[in-house]
Amino acid sequence: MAYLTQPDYVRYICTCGQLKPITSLYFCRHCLKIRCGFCICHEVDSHYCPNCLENMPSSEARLKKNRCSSCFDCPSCYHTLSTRASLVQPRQQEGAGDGKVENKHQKKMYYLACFNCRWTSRDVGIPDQPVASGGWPERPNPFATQINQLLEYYKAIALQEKQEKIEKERKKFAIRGKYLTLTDKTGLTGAMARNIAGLPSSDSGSSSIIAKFVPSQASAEVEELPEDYFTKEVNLNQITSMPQRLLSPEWQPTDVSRLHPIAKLLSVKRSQRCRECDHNLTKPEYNPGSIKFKIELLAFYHIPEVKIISYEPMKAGENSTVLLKLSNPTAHEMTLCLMNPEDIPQVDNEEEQLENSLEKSLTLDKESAACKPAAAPAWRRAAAPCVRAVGPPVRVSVPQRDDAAEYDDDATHDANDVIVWRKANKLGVRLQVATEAAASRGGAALLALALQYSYRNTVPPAANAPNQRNHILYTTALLSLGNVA
Amino acid sequence: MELQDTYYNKSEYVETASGNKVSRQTVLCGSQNIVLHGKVIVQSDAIIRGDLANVKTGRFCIISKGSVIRPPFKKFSKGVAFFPLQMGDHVFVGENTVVNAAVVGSYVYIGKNVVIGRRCVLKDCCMIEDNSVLPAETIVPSFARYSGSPAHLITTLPEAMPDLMTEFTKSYYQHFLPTTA
Amino acid sequence: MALYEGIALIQEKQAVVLDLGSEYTKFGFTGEAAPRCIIRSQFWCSTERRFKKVYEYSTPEELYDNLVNMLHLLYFRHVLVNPKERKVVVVESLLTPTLFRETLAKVLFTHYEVSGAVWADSPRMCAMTLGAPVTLVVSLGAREAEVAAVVHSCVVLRAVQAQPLGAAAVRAELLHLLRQDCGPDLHLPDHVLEDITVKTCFVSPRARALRWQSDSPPEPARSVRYPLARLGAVCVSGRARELAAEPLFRRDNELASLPDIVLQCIMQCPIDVRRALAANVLLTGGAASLPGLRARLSQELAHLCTLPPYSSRLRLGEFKFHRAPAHDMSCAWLGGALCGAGEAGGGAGGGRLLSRDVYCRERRLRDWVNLLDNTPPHHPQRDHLDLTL
Repeated sequence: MAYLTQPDYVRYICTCGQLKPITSLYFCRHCLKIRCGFCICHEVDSHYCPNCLENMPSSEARLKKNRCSSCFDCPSCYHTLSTRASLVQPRQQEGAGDGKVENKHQKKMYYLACFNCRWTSRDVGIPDQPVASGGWPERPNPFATQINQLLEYYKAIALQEKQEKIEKERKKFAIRGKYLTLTDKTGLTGAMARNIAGLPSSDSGSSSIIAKFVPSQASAEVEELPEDYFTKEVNLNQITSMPQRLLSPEWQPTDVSRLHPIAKLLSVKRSQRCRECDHNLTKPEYNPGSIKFKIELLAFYHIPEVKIISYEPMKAGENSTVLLKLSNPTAHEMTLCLMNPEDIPQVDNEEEQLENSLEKSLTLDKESAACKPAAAPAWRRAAAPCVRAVGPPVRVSVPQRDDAAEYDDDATHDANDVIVWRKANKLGVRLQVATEAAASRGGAALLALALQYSYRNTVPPAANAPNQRNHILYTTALLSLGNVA
Repeated sequence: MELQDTYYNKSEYVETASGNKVSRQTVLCGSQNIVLHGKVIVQSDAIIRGDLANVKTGRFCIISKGSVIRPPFKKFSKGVAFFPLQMGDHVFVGENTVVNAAVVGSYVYIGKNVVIGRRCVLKDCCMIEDNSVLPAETIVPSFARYSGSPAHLITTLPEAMPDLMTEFTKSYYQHFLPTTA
Repeated sequence: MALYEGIALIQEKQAVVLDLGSEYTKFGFTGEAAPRCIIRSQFWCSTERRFKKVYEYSTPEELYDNLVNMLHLLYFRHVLVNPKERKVVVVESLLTPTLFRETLAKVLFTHYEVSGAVWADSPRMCAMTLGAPVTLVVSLGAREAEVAAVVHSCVVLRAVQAQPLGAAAVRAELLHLLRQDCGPDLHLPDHVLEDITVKTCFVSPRARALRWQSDSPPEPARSVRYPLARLGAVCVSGRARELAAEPLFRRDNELASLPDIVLQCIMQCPIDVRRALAANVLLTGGAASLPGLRARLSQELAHLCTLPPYSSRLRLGEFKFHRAPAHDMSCAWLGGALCGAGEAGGGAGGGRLLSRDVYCRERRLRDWVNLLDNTPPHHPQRDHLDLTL
């Protein structure tokens, strides 16, 4: 929880170089690498309304412009509107123009109301609806006809250009005749690049759309300020604010009386995918109310978690002690070694590269190495660690996660000067650290800590792959230990 | 950072067989209608209005100091009716917060000085930040982080939210210790 | 569901149109009449726990991160489509910094793996919403006023004018005027200033503005009490309401006021389009929706034409104004949507579409300032330019 309410004291370095708390990291079991939201591929999985929690098939969502048909937002304060019922008695209906209601004795009519700012759909003169959900009037875009005309015009021009181009090609190679149009489909030179659009049809004028098109007419008359503008009182409550206007980009009302309920924007469930091996990292369940995942490869479940329990103030050039809590979230015992980042052996990944290149040539390498997301090795520039662990690397073994262990007794205290206590899959470790003598007073004391850990891969290996289940993996965490005193 | 120990006066708190720790300085109205499902902490000056309707909490809930848990009402043409309030497991309610929700799911974090309007529905795994006001009948979807007045979606929460909340409420319970131990 | 997906794969996916302004971002689909969303160009930065603006950057890496976050917000919160394998129309100002353009390209192609992108300059896009062959686009953005002449879908590049006379200038002046009224310690956040401008400010006609400078100022308009969130209220005087937009028209020896740069732009255009340009002015951009601005600009232009240096060089006739079929703020976006529907959406690959493959190969964007892109193909110097490729 501390991850949500406190600053990130412990940040891990993702494979892509980003610094992230463990909660926003993922672990690809297939590449055995840490991934983060930055270096994975997000995909829209399913659409749902965040208010009524109804799923909407993606085709329908596209049709409805990603808006729910039964839930609305308040145009004034952006909060969700509630449907209110009122009983309408025929006698009380006076000239509201609802002729149908008068025949029946008593009828329930519904309107929308905001419980936050007390705005109602009656305020702006939207008639009450006879059904509880849906049926609210839709407004057409004020510029729709003009824009459709423009669209048709430009499409016609694009078509004409294309035909002309084909025509031209045909003339060039008259011998081969019409079969040459095929080459057209395979992407062409940018010869016509500059003036595709907007050029009035010079010659043929074949298309009637182009001929009929009337461009916008300019006028010398510009709307002046109304005479009473300088004497009129301004009622701030009657003028919409910028966010209110922009909430409905099609209408952008300037007057409060023109505000209309805004259909609720849908939300999406996202699935996430490793960019390198295309395996899913997370895949949520389809049901919008469910918090479960079909696939959930979070770093939180796979890599050892480091938490700071307490630390002595860091003084430049002096040693101090840090108490850390290490936990093993996996279902296998883990050996952990804490060391300095420069002690991580440089992985000789020749073999790996060979494998990769083979794989790549098979999958028609579209993305050259240059096309990968820019690795940002910026973390070192952004945060220079000035504290380092001293003494021999701390090597401990952490038992596996066991849900029954919570009923166990209190922590066992080892008489060890490294391990302070052990409890289920967690243990407290005392670590000696040294602050650089050159560290500036008041600067952030950052400790870079490399973790070597054993990891048992539970993915069933592919048929041809070597059956290697136990891996030694490395990761680096950056711990903020206050300021240098 | 690891959670620090919180100490309480042993004489002030009652510990039930199921592990609930309830302060004596609370107002529990209609206690026969209040069900605390075990290992729930109700801190001093909290008010739970069981006299209005049933209040049920799950396991490992934390009701902080000065907060009010009050079942919601709905107005009908013939008067007012109160509805039961249900709370899932691993819910944290911050200090001086008023909860009038109809349903609070599991793994929900509600900050301090928050007002949850009547008949709100907080789905599983959501978070309401400190000093927010959630107007009546709001539905907060899962993995949403709400803030502001009126509160609206700020960002999403990590997928590990259930585990984070479980760990937080459990360790809060473990670190909630009597002074005279 | 699989069936629907199949159909979607066969059909060309609707391209998206992105207009990433310094204050507001407009995002939506091609072929539609309005953007799906107009939101502030900011995102929730979880490390700093605040909203961060896209244009707040000091290093290219920071800009890259900002853009990734912003586009993530746009794609997954507002438009709800997969960015992958979808084309993008980027509407941008002609004066967008190269670093920004290139970082955006990098983000789109490598991070979001879009299949192709069209870079479209905003003056041309604004002109497209009219369909008129010759247009003078005056766009008042958040920061800058840009004037560009678009003749048959080509921007007359040497005549492009820009001055820092956007909404920011109006807001700065408003704050200055409010401080004169309410004391120099007045501090108002930017969004409050924006709200005051939007709700109360207006541009008075030229005759009235002249009287403000004379000894007998006119009766000011009604003052407005603007309530503040926690600090009571601020009194917005009629004078402040009226004069806030005056910096746009304030002339000095540099001749850098808004009407001046409009006339300078016309003056630098070929002589045979000048008259047509004056008769086809399009005023757009978020700041253009101030009440009375159009009328004032028209009056100022008519007056300035009679003064040197313009009087001796310009014979323009009447200034005529267009009305775009969109709100001032989304005009350039609409042009992008129209352009994209013609090209990126329907066409088999319009001439200007930069596909991902090509980008990965060449790693560069076409740019109008680059000689490689604006030298005609048969130009004698052309061969000497291709050295870099």
